[in-house]
Amino acid sequence: MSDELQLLDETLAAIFAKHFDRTARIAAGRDFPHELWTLLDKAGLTTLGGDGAELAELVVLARAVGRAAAPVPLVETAGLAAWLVGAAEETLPEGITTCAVGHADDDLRVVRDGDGWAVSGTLHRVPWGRDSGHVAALVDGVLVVLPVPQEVRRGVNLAGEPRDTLEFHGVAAHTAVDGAVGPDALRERGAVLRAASMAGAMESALELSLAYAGEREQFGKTISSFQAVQQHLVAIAEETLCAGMAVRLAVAASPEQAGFAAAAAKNTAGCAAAVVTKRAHQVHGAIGVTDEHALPWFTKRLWAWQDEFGTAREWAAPLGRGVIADGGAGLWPRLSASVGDA
Amino acid sequence: MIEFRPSGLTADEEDLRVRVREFVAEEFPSGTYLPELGINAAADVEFSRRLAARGWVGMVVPEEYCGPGRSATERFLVVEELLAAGAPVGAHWVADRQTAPVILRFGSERLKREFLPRIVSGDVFFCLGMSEPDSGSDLASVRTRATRTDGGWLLNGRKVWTSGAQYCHYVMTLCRTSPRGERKHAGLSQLIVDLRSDGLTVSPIRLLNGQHHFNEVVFEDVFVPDHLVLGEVGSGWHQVTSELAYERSGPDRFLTTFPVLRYFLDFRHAAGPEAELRLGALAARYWVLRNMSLSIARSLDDGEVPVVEATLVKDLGTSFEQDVLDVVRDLAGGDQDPDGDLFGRLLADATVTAPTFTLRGGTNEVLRSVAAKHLLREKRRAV
Repeated sequence: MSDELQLLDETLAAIFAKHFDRTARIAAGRDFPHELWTLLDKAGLTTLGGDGAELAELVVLARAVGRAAAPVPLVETAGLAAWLVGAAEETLPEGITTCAVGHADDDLRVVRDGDGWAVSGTLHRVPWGRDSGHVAALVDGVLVVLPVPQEVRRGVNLAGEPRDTLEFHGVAAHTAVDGAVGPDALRERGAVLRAASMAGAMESALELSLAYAGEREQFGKTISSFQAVQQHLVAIAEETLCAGMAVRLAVAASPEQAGFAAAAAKNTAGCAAAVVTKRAHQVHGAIGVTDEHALPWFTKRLWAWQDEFGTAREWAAPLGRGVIADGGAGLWPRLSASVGDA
Repeated sequence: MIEFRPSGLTADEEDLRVRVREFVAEEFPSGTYLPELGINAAADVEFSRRLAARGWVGMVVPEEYCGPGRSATERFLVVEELLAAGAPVGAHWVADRQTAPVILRFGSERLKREFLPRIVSGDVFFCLGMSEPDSGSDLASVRTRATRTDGGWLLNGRKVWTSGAQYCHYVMTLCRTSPRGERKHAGLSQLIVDLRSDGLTVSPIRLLNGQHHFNEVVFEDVFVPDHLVLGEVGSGWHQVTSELAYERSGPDRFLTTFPVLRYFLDFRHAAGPEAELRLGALAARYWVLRNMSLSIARSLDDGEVPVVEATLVKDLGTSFEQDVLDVVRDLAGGDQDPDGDLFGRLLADATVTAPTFTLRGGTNEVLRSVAAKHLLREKRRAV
């Protein structure tokens, strides 16, 4: 990691550790952590993607969110909305601008309305819709930024993160321009950033598992001395490392490799999450399935995030089509293509 | 916490790869030969010499010992091309992968001059005398022993699963040079033993498909001169374990069944949603594992000793090699004739030898215990 990325990583870790510790987390429940958000905002982190930030920086940010299980829409604001708006050379409105996820049932329509544009339709599963002032969305190649309506249909994911349904009836768009980014690129970026958060959450699940196995005693010795438990710990570590590597490959990939690498990253993270959640809970025993333990902060996010921006299965399909199209002779050159700087 | 970093290739490395790819395409036109499966590959001495003539055997040996002085990464690039094509790498395999590096690291000047140039030229092949009838994963329990005699050692004992002893020239033999005391890792040494020595017999242990790959090597008062002791007497355990980073993480730990997948795509019809899903998942795993393995070669070049990383990649990679077969068998539709076309024969060979992937070089279960202890130690240290 370069010095700048290292600094960004440490800054995020410090903010999350200091201002969102265990007590604060329990006290906040499902309320939006305004104090934490203000700090992130002041540090310039909530709009990072719009300032010409590289994917590498946004991945550091997404991973830190996962590692801390931070209940904030940093990936959606900085990683997605700010990036979409910045790429179109527009400016973000004040306040929180979240990003629509490109849900299959979304049906926004944009029509001319005097000098501006009026938007109608529904956006589904919008992260932190209720807490946001605006939402960025792509409609038929057009980037719109819309004020979030007063009333939203509340929903959540398994981790309790808001995933709300927003309805628009002829709403005047804050921004409506030709999008510089297409829906596939948005979905790919969403997949890579979710995969990065998943890798971060897996790192924490691994740390918790190693710590617990090293201190919990049964049959007169720490459970880490049982080979069966050791096998779990190693499997958790291996899958965590695979997910992290897959994300770093997506960051290092050339433009030609980006689609393949993004698909591989979300596929890998999804497959890894299945192993890590199961085995981390097995190591922890009953205490791990209580709400007084930290493990579920991470495992619930992994269960939720593995489905968002495409499941492992959904991302496997395009990879498989590529394999079939390349045939036997083309497979090896594709798999062994050089990634990143020497 | 351990982390793997992507590593791209330099222009020179890309150039090397192009040349190897061209060589491989000339030697093994796809569909015209039955590919070999990784390190179970047959020995083809002439092929090994052609490879050596291009400077692609013993690549890490420096110029002063007649080698090309290339990096671990460059060796990685050559080896992965050979394995992906199913080349017959058996003859020079052990000498290239681990004997040359350990002689370079621990050998006396005399040993280096005696062996390295001949490894590089493809004239001397090594095999490994490690496992014994009563010593598998618990390697330190070996009972083959060497006792002092005039000018050297007298070796007695029995080694098994010695791949390639029937055509190699020397066997790198782990043995006890002093009686086992409190510490079982002390008192072990590595001896380079000429396979044509008096008192040494090699007999085949056939694989379940009849292939002659493994051997039993019996030593009865075999004389080994002093200068053929590798490194220090009594340092065998340290030396053997330091080989592991080379032994465990290379492309041979995830590419063994790649030719099966490749021939499946060429010789059978893959289509439909299930094929897409399952082949896509394999592609993602290959992509990640290959880059992890490559990053280990890079860190070896940076002077690091990534033994735990190598252990984890070996566990992941060898399990994956078996998973590949399950997918290919399902997609091919089952009941493939083992004496049928190239794909059928390849799948049959791979299926029955697959259990060796997760056994050789230490069973995966033992590797995982070793890795777990390291992770737990690191965690305690960090707290």
